This record gives sequence, structure tokens and C-alpha cells, in this order.
Amino acid sequence: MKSYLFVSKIRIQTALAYRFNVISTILIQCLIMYAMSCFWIAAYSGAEAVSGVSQRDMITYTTISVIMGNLLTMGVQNRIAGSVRSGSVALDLLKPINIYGIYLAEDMGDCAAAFFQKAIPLLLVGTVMFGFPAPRSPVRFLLFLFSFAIGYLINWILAALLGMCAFKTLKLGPLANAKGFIMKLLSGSIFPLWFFPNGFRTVLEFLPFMNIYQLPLGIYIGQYTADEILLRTGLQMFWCAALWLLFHILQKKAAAAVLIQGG
Amino acid sequence: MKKIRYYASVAAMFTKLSIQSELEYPFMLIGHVLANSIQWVVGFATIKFVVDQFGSIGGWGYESLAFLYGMSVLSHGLAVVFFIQTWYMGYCVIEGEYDMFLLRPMNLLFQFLFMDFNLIGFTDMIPGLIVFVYGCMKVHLALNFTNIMLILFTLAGGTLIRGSVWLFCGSMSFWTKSTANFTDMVGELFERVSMYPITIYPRWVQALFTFILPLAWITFFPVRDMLRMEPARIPVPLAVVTLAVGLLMFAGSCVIFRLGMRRYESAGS
Repeated sequence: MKSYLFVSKIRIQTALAYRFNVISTILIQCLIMYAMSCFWIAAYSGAEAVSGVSQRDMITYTTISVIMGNLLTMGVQNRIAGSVRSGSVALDLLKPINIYGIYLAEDMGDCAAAFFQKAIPLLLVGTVMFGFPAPRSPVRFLLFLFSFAIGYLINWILAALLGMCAFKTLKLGPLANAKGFIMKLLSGSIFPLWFFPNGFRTVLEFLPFMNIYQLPLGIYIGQYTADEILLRTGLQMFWCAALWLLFHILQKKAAAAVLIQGG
Repeated sequence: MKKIRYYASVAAMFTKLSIQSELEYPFMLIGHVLANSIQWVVGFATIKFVVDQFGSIGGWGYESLAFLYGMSVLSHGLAVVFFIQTWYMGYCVIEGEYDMFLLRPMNLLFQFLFMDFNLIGFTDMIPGLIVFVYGCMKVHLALNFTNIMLILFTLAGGTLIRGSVWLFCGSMSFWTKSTANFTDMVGELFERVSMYPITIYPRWVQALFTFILPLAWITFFPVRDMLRMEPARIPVPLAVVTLAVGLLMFAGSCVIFRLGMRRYESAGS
């Protein structure tokens, strides 16, 4: 455990060293936040509520979604792909420690750094531009945190699974792009699924992606009833467990394949 | 005359080599076609679903939005085909990659502009064309000579505006000597002002994107003019203005590039 914490600490220190990166990221993210909020204001143009959601709720949704996006950046897929390409994966597997644990610790370190470097400044800017994005109630906020944590794990496992594709393809290229677009469009990070037609929405609700953004955000703005939260969290945890199992099996297989290649 | 012919043959050779090297990885190309189709077609579909719920956005229904969105993806694809080399200028400056330009007895700017013809950009244009044709049908745009000319003018101007902004940002590395990459930031900005009507923003933002950083000309003004959504204020079609803005910006960026090249000191080893 101590070694994992050490890795996280190193990552936080690395992240703190790149000031220009942080400033430019914050600028882009503010831009997205502002543009999306303008989109919703123009779409509502005075309407009370659409699909049971008010304009104020949508601005809160957008602000928190952008902040979440900054906490959910995953290095693991490129990390795996990079070490497969360079061949250092063989050395990684030799280390007397779980290498995927190290990757997770690295990403958690990045997440912790992003919280202070990006999430807090973005929250301040969002508050100045459009008012404080308050959660529906303190209880909802705690539920949101729990849901976000599981969503984080799902997101991480999906990224790791994609990274494992590199064992076969060596380069991620368009695969990584496709995953990025799917994540952006179908997870509710920009447009919540409740604005989509019924059939399309039902399909998306059974896929794992909406559990990363839409579910925590829906809980945050109070879109779900207590029963729905219970049911959806169950489904979310099921996805997390199922994907972890898949990851576990594939990881064993991939390690075996590497040993055959011999480096 | 002889010189022009020589330059043309070199440009053709550059293009041929770039295409050949792309074709070495056919699966990469197919992968990009699939990935970009998902991005733009699903991207537009989600906008349509949302706009359906609200009726219209900034006075635009989903029909005219499809036309706007398609036009934007098409000029994005063209810009990626012709201006991809501006994305990694910072890296080239730091690594001293531009030494080769200085060693060849040819115009610097010519070499830079023609060195990389990126076939992958066309994979953006396939889904772009699908959404665009859908939009054309929905807004019942008559495919006569005038309209085709207006579309071509808009695409040419839009491509030049995008490319000029990239070239400008890339040229900054001559002064900053850093690999800082603005591609993401600029891409996000382009998406926000060329795929959505800029009428959704407050007045001062609209003014900013019309006069100071004229990105609203990439698609918004020429498309609104083509669809006759507003009575014309000037006697020239706005697509012509777009091309003029594009040419002006391109000339400006080329000047910046040349000035930057003077400061280039081949930092690599």
C-alpha cells in the first residue's frame, strides 16, 4: 500500500510542475463550460422546464460535468499501449508489485492533483459566471460522491481494457478516438440522456457509459427518485464488477501472451 | 514558367509520397473512417434529439442546424487534409526539423505548406458529407449553379480561416521555443462557433467572433445568408466575404510564419 501511495505522490508532484499545461486546460474548460451554458440558456429561452428539468438544473449539470471530466482523465490506456510498444511491459511484469495497481495509483494521483489545480478553479469560475452549482440536498451530495467513485472505477477499467487492445494491435490510434467520442456523446457528459428518444435512451441506459457521468449528475441535481437511485446504483455496481472480472481474465491472458513473445 | 512547372512537380511528388505512406496502414485508415463516422454522425444525432425537445435553438431548427453542422465538418476535414503540418510545429522547432527546408533551394513557405498531405482528413469528410446532404435535403436547397458556387466559396474560405489560425498558433513556437500545443483549445473553439449558431451567445461574444477573431465567417454568416434567414445587409453574398476573410487571414499567417522562420535557430541536435 505504501508503494502505491508513493506513486500517487510522485504523480501529484509531476502534475504541479507543468504550470502552462494547467492554465491552458483551465482556459479550454472554461470555454466549454461557458459555451454549453449559453447553449442551454438559448435552448430554454425562458421555458419553465423541459423533460422535467429546469434551466438552472441544466447549468448546474453542465458545470459539474465539466469539472468531473477533468477528474476522470485516464492515463492508463496510453500507459499500457506505450509499455507494450516499447517492450518495457516485460520489465513491468517482473516487478514484485501489481503493475495495474501502480497504474491505478498513478491515475489517482493525477486525479488528486486535478482536484486542486482544475476542479476548484473551474468551480470558482462557474460560480462567478452563472451562480453556485448547488446540489439538491446534502444527502444527495453524499450519494453523488459514492456514485462518482464507482463511475471512476468503471471509467478506469474501460480505459485499461482499451489499453490491453494494444497487446494485439500495438497502436491504439483510431480505437482510442472512437472510445473518446463514445464516452463524450453517449455517457451524458454533454447532453443528458433524458432528452433522447425513448428507444435510444433505453439502450444507452443499459450500457456502462451512462454510469460514469449521467447517473452521478442526475443524483446531484435531484432528477432521480430514491427508488430509481437504488435500482440504478445496483446496475452500476453490477457493471463495475462485470468489467473488473473481464479485465482480470484478459490481464492474465495478456501476461501469458507477452511471456511467449519473450520481449 | 519553368520554375512554376518545377514547383508543381515537387508539390505533386510530396502529395504522392504522403498518400503512399498513409496507404501503408490500410486498417488505420478504415479505423479512422469508422471512428470519425461515429463522432460526426452520432454527434449530430444527439444535437438533433436535444433540439427536437426544445423546438429550436437561437432561432435555428434542426434542419438548418444539419446544414450548418455538415458545412462545418466538411471544412474541418479539408483543413485537416491541407494543414495537418501546423499541428506539430512546436515539436519541429524544438527538434530542429526545419533545417531541411533551409538546405533545399526552394521557397520556405512552399515547402512547409506542401510537405504533408494528410489523407486521413478525408475520413472526416465522409460523415461530413452525409450530414451535409441530409441538411441540404431538409432545407430544400436548390442545387443550382449559384448555390454550388456559394458552397464552394464557403468551404474554401472556411478551410483557409481554420488553417490560418492553426498556422498562427503553430508559428508562436518560433518565439516561445516550446512544444505547447494549442490544437485542442482551438479545435474546441472552432466547434463551438462553427457548429452552433453564434446567436446563442451574448452580443459582445458575437461581435468578438465577427470582427476581432472572425471565426463566425467559417460557417455561420455564409450559411445564414444562403438559407435567406435574414435580409441581406450588403450587396455581396456573404460566402464571398468568407473567402476574402480567409485569404486575408491566410496571408497574415504566412507573414507571421516567415517572420518566425527568421528567428528559427535549429535547437535540435
